[in-house]
Amino acid sequence: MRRVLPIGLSLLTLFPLWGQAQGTVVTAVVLPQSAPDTLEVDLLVQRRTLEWERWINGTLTLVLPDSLTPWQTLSVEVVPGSSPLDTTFYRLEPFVLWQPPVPGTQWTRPRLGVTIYGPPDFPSSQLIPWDTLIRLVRLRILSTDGSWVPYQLDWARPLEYYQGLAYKQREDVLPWVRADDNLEIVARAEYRLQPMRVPAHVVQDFRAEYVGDRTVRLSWRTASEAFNRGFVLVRWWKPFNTTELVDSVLLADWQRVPLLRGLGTSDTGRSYVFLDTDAAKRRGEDYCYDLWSTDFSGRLRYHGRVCAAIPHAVISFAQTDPNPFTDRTVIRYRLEDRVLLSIKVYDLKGKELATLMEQREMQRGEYTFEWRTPAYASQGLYDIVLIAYPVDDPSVELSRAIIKAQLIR
Amino acid sequence: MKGEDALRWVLGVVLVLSVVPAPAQLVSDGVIYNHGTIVIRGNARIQQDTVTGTVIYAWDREGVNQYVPHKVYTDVRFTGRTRKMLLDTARPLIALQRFVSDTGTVFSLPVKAAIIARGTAVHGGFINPEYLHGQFILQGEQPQDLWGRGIFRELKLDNVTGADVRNGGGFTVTTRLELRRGVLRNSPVDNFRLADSAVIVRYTEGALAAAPIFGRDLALRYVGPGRIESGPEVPPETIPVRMLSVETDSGLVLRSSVTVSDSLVLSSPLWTEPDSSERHVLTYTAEQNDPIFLHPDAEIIGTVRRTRLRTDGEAVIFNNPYTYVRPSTKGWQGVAALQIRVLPRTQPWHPQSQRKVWRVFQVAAWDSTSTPVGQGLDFRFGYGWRHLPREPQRDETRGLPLQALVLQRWTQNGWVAAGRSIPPVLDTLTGWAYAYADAVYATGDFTIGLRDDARALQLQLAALLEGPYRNGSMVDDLRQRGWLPETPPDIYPYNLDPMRPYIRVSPLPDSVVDWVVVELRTLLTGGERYYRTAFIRRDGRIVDLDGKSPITLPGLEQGAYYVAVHHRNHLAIITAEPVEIVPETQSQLLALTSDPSRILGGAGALRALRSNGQTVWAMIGGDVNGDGRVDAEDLRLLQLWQHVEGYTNADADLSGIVTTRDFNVSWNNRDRSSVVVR
Repeated sequence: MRRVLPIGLSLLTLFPLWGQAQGTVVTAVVLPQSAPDTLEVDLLVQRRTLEWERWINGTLTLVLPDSLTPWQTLSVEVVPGSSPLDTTFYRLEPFVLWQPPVPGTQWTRPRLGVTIYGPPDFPSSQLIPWDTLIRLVRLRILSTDGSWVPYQLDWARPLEYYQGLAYKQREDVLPWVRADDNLEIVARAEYRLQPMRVPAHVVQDFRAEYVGDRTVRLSWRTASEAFNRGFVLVRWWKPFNTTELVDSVLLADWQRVPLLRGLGTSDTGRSYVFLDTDAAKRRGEDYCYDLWSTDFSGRLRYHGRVCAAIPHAVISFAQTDPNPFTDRTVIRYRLEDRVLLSIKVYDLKGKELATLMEQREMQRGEYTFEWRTPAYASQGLYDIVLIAYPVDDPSVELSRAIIKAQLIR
Repeated sequence: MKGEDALRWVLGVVLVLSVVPAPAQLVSDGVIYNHGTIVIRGNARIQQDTVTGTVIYAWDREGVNQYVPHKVYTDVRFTGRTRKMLLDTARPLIALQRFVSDTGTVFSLPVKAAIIARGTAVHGGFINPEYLHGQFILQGEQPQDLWGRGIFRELKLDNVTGADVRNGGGFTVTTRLELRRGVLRNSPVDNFRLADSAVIVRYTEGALAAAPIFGRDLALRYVGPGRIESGPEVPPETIPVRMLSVETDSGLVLRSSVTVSDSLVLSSPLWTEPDSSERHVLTYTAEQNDPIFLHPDAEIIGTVRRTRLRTDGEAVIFNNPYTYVRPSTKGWQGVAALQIRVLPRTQPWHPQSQRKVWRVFQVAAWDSTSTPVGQGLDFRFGYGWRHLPREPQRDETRGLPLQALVLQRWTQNGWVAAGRSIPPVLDTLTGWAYAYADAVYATGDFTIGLRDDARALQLQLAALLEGPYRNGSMVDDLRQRGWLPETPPDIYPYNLDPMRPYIRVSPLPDSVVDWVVVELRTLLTGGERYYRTAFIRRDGRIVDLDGKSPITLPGLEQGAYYVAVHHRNHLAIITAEPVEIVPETQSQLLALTSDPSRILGGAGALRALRSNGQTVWAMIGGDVNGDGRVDAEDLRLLQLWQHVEGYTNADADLSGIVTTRDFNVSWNNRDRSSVVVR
């Protein structure tokens, strides 16, 4: 059951001073806050003394700034599986106190933390390997009303008043101590705090791209995030031949679109994509997008504006190569939307000579199609006609392109 | 039967029936059922007990008497110039719903006759113009109304629901107002008048809502079981109380200052200071009549001022029979008024408070121009205090040797002997010890203390508590945080000391860790026991309440005793051998910290602690419930009281907060117990 968590090396790099520590070091590491109503804290112990070996119990008490704390709305729990302590022998009791636990008694200040009781005997006690970081427990502080749990934690001081930390004595050292006594190390322990790192909130590469079907693909990425609940997108319409933006609409926000939820506070970012599929857009018009993010306290931060144009035509490009050609030519065309596409060849009299494609569903993109002329085809000028139909209504012609191709025999 | 009874009632000389508006319907079966009004203009004789309806005694001829039978009337009214004679002393006249007497109506009542109103009483008449007696009793079961411009001789309220003075009041009580039960609800608007020299007799259950219109003086009597707090029946100081008599069994609490002009009679205590925020003065202006104390418990607790000092050279008595001032042969030397404030059962302030009787006298004097006189006097000061060794709650001697007690006065140099004190005299019948000091030259604060040359038994003691011991000494965190109580709490071991409730130390001395109780025993088990509450300091010294002096042991006989030390959450220890308790000049430090062999149980009864390379021995901590054993119950309580702050037994290390540190103190002493037999 006892496990040494593989966090030693990575955390040692966070605390360059630890190399100088002698004795016992207790460290509270405030983890990056991913949601405003939750804060997690690791309580770590490191033994750099041979004075003791097995840890038995303690009262580890933290405080929040009084000015920030809605104490009565906080609760605290032990993150399941976060402690190496064998629950057969150890009892972990997290606590939040915002008033005297017994009415009428004295009182100094609100506080939270965990009280841990250990087993009666030495062999059952938790071994703390020398110079190895052991996480005793991870506490999760929750806000019961959804308000922001402040992250500015600190050890409750004076330490010798609020904190307790004891090891288990292995054998008698009479007359002073007996085997299995619990001996305090609070006065010789060093209490450290690794506050939560708050990186810059960096949003990069905000782009808009028309991807067909009157859909604009919006993408951006974050290098790091700070107290980011999520993003908000606002769309503007830019009428033809004007510079003014009108008709702003709230396109999407993190509360309704899970994909737009932020990481809270994170050293590493991620990529975000949103597809604006709103059919209200019109062809041939430009649309602009504003990107905002909301922090834990509800404030909006602006990150930039990008624009995208909805093309006029669906078949935006069509040609053959070579032209003139002898027995075959390659038809190149570009579709700006997903359509049902027909490609037919007509002679100059308007007679349909060949149907190269009949209402086939084609995705947006650039395509090539090789047309091999039959041997009996006579030399002359031909019309290669590309007709695009909406995928949901083949009876309506959406767009048409005609290529003049000359066959030479 | 009703018809026959109706015929049996006989009217006297003249009877006029006027029935308004309906004809008379008189029916009787012991009751005359009258649905109208009976107007009687002559003498009446009625055999029935009760007359309903309205009866009017209306004979209106001067110089003639109208005899009124004492019956139960529903509604009775008296009018006319003929004197109304209510002469039946065997039974009262009772008005169930309404008693009315018109202006000018005169009543004659012998001493034992009475009028009882159980409903509204409107009195415009005059009861007994020639005499001072004549009872009128308000005795309803519902609130009664009372008004009229008449004159009552003796008005008595005996209605638990009280009576309301209405319609402006207006009546006068000339002889006696007796408030037996209920509140007479008068007000400045609806009020009544007390004639000069009237007496108010107030019982425990009776009261007055507002001050009446006082005459030039009055007398006050407080009667009944229990204690009474004075109310608006006490006039302002400008109106003297001719006589103040406290006849309750538990005393009177004065809620205002009062001037008593002629006699002061006490059967029980009288307090002039209801609480620390209210301090009143009883001014006694009689010259020759000293106060009379009818019971040993009768005394005035608080301030008595006497403004007319007798000039015959005799003593002027103040708060109790033993507290007096007598001028020397030089007379009063300009002193016109004297005041003494007596605070019984009050520990004199430090220093050396343990060598004092728990009683303080504050004496002040003024000359004829009301200028304070502090020095240059010469008088005999008589002082007395309660000496009740078998009643620790009331005893003020507290074991001090009587013969060595003298009067002391507070000066810049502390308490200094004042005048020449005679040895106290003990009155075992009343429980008073008393003496006097001649040649007292100044006023000020006085107490009774041991002579400077008196040698009190003393104990210099040191011990350590394991819980608060850190790095070579104990911590006084509880005192620093202000959580050490000024009076030891009512828990073990402090409740062993009968004087505990009377100990209050404010401010607490520096370096004090906690309260402890020192016990002296003649035998390890059984025998006589003597307890003293003391402080334990950071350095381990167990000291007296001043935080410095060794413990004085008043009342202890010199000899050899086992010395035990008790603490609320440490296991008690006791010396293995008796220790000789000697007067202060010979006492040596008894340190229970270095040699465990001096302690019963040896090293097993103590906890070894390292201190700067040495080992010291401390009392074993972690006995949260104070039962003499450190066991699983203590550990359970410690977990139950986690995070609690303040002065709690679960705070084993006396830091002020309960954490796992306290749990560990108890755990490390698991299964250990005290060898001190309780």
